[in-house]
Amino acid sequence: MNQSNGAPAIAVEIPSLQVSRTRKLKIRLWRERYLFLLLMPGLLYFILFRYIPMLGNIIAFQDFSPFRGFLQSNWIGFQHFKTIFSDQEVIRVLWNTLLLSFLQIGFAFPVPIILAIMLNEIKNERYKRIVQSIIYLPHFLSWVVVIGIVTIFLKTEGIVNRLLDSLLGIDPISFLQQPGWFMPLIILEVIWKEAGWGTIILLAALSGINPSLYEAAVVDGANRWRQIWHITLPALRSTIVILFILRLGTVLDSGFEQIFLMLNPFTMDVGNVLDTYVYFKGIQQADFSFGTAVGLFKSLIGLILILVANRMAKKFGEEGVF
Amino acid sequence: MYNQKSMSGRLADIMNIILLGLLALLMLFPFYYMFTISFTSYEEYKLSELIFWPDRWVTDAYTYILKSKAFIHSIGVTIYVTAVGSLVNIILTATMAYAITRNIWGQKVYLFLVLFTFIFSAGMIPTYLIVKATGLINSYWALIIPGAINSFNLIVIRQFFLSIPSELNEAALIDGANDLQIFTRIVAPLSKPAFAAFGLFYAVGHWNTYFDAILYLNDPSKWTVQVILRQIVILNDTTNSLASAARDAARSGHLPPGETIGMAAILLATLPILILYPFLQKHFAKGVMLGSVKG
Amino acid sequence: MKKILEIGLIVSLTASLAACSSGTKVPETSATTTDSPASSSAAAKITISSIEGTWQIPLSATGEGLKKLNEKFNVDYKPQFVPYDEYGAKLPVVMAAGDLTDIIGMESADANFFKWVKQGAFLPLNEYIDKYPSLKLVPKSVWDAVTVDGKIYAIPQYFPAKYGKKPVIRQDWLDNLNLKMPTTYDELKEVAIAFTKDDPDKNGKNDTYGIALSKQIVYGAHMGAQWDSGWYNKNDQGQLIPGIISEGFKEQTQLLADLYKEGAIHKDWAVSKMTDISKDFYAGKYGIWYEQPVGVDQVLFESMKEQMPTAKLAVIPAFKQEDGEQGYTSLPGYYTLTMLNAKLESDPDKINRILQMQDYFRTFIPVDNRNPQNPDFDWSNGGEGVGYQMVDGVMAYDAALYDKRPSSYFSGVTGWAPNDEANEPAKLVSSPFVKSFVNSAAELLKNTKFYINPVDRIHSEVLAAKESELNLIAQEWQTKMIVGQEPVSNWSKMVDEYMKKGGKEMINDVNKILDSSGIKGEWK
Repeated sequence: MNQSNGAPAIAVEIPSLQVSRTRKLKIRLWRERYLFLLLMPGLLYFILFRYIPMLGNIIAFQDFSPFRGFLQSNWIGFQHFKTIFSDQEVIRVLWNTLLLSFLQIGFAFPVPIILAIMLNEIKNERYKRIVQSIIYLPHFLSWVVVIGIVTIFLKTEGIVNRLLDSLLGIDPISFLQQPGWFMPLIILEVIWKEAGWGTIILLAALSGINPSLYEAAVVDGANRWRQIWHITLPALRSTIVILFILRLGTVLDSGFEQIFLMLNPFTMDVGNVLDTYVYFKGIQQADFSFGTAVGLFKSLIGLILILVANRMAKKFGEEGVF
Repeated sequence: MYNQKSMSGRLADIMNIILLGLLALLMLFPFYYMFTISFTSYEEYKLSELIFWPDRWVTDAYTYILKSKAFIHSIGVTIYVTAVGSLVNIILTATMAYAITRNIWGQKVYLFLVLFTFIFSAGMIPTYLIVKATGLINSYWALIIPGAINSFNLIVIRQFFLSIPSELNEAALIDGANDLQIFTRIVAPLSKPAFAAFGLFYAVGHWNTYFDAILYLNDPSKWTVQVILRQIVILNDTTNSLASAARDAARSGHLPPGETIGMAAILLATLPILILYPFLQKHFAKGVMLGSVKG
Repeated sequence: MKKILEIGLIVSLTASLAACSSGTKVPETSATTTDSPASSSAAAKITISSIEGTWQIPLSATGEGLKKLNEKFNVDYKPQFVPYDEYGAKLPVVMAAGDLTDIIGMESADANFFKWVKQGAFLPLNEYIDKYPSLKLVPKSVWDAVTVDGKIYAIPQYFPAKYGKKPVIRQDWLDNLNLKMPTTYDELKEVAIAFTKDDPDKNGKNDTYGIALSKQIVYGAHMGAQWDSGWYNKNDQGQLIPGIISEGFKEQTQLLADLYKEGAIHKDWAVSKMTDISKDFYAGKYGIWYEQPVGVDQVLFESMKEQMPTAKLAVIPAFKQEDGEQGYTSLPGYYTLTMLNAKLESDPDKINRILQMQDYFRTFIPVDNRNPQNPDFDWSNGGEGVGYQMVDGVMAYDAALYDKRPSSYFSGVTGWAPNDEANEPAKLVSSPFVKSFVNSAAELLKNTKFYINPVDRIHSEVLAAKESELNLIAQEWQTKMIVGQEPVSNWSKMVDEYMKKGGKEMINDVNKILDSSGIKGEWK
């Protein structure tokens, strides 16, 4: 916190030795009344729409029946959680989820970083601006639209196959029907849609670099690569670390809509992830308790990962999120 | 900025420019393709889907869509929800973020409450129950209030506030301004670029709202454009969703166009946010906004 | 099985809706009763809410049609329509949140239906049925499907059992190539390959496929009860088994796999939507597809005629089976269910008002009486010149007028016909091309035998819980077999998995219930 107290100087001067703690608190609260005014709407929102519904997670320990309600449904303890670990299908789904996440971290996560560095190297501001504007664009499309486009492009009679055929003489590939193509396609879609947008945060961090640093490096005879290595990357480091920690926290999230729309009988084996599984079971088959249990389990793993990553980051001298 | 005169440096520069240019074209291509196809006649499209420049530019697809009252109405609805929603988002996010920037009583608790929601969230049913209990069912507010604050955005905006030099606050305090005035007169104006950026983040979310509309709004005339778009694109259900247009097509002996309508619908539904985008982009191009993620 | 039929119905309904908007009349909601029910129920105005799925752009709870409906029945009717794609998620949430309307619609008696019945969500209707003539018309075999422990929990809505989707062939292509109508799978294979390779449309281009297939193998090559997904075949122990794992189904899967290998099935079939395939069929890309005699999409038919003036469609007659029978499996005779909220129990007035409305729209108007002179027909369609027009003696209306028609707000409810032939589908279409197809199809089906699937008539818990999941497993296998990722000779492996994952249990349970209830599969 590099910010000073809410109310400096004047307030501190109140002779306070004799004042009781409650009185002190009252004075403080009064002094901060406008801050509370600012805080209240948001705080109320969090309590009402985030925390009260969270209590509903107790149905993870019940055999929930809507006609009995949250308190009268039968309590069954950890049974749903046991199912998570014993069910063959859940294990396969978990594996798919983790595999996809790690592939994403390996392939999709670095792309915005590389793009940001490339953009940072461009000196012509106008060209840079145009490129930026274009690569942000796909972010504005919803997944429905993106998958719609992908399907049209990748059909066996689609534009991609026609190009492959006419340029390289390759026979049509049924991209959407081969399990092997599922994960690569998901990752490519994520890159296409989000990589450009992901550079925003990184470019902002880069804009804070003092140009004199580069000038000094040039004087010292450092070439382009050394400049990137010694100036650009260090400036990005803390941002990358934070993004990485947050990404780990969502390692069991796969982006429901995208996967859901890409699934078909061929890709079910490799593509069914926790999010879609919970939807099929928890909502469509109306097994709310089980769905909630899986959700809780997911959150718990996320929490552990985020704590571990944060600890690691601090060990390596980074600030971390907390 | 940093003058590099060596040959290898020049070469790297040129490579970089070309590579980025190619990438940008790759990103742009689907948009271009959708654009041309949406102006292609269905007959031509059926003959060859590989069309970079149609023989004949036709506006059939657009005429079809614009005849559908439901589609146009839903765009109006979505503009309304997006505008009001983003405004509410920004106000609630910024005020709360600012309050916990300052050394307010209980600051750590509030911060924890926010961070906790990164990880743990409520299920669909309890949330539905709260929306119902607060009387929001079937009201546009049901699309706005339940997602009023995004925790991640709140934390980033808070970081931004933290980077504002504290001397400004102190000077204002000495002038007799209260915290509210400091926020509205000093902090908020300084944060315009950040507000613009996050306003856009939120706006995109509202624009693409889909399932909440189905879940919370019982009256179909309140549905957002993505719901209609989904019917057109995913279900390719033009005969149903745009029935009267399809009938006209049949009378004139043409096939009711499938994909070309889908493309036109996507472009029309994306257009408003694309128009908004350059105005806001100007702001975050300045780059100020997030010099601060690092805190 | 049920799922597959459902999907078929989805399409047929979709098509019928499109047909409505394209200028003709399909079997529609109407009534013959002359005395208005409103007179008998003039008492107090009752507010009635409902939620149901729909296959078209959902209607708002406003509009002239609704106003008329409210006046006639002295109610404040608040319907809520949700697209079926979303309904599967919305209804459970609404249900779980205890936010249930007075009337609830569901597509079929699926696992959720029985789960909610058990949880006490719906009102038993036994005591009301005899009071309403249109409800009395429902045959026992149909009531059986929605009965649990002797209590009836839903009102099934009419759908002709015979007029489901049937395999349809391009007769003109057969003629062009001098081929006869196939009567066996071998002949079917020959025809399909010829349709692919011998340029059946004589346009000089290699741009046709023998048989159309869409994702989830919704329709395969089901040429009779022995080969489709109904419970027809028996296993070694004499138990009835689901078609999807039967030898007959294997035979037709083998055919599809062979045809795929020959290029007679489109490579993208497994990711192609049915609506797209349909459009392509009518654009002349495929030789064999599925169509039905009621509620056809006239837009598609007309565009076909426009582009291919010589086009001619014919239903393929069922193939002769090994056991000497010959015929198709009949549909269950209903499509969509209407339930009442259990909470209405203490409000008989409301129950009766709802059932009166149902009864009104469920009352069948003979096709010849469907004209402006019939007050019920005229009223429920919004009045001549307002909600519809008569063109060539057939009702036509514009989709834009949809909300002017009271029947639109009861769109899932149709008059309960005394028999399937009474629907006289050919009289409801105006275009000669469509008329000739509908006529020939109806004529053929009139003389076709139909197998009544006994499993449609019973309620097995295990079936309700397992069936859709098991079908997905089999479907995955079969999809892979058709494209050659898995040899069809691995059929027994598929059956093993199916049995292991609950199929065995399900078959035992179903057969036990069949035995104890005395219900058997029968030909009609």
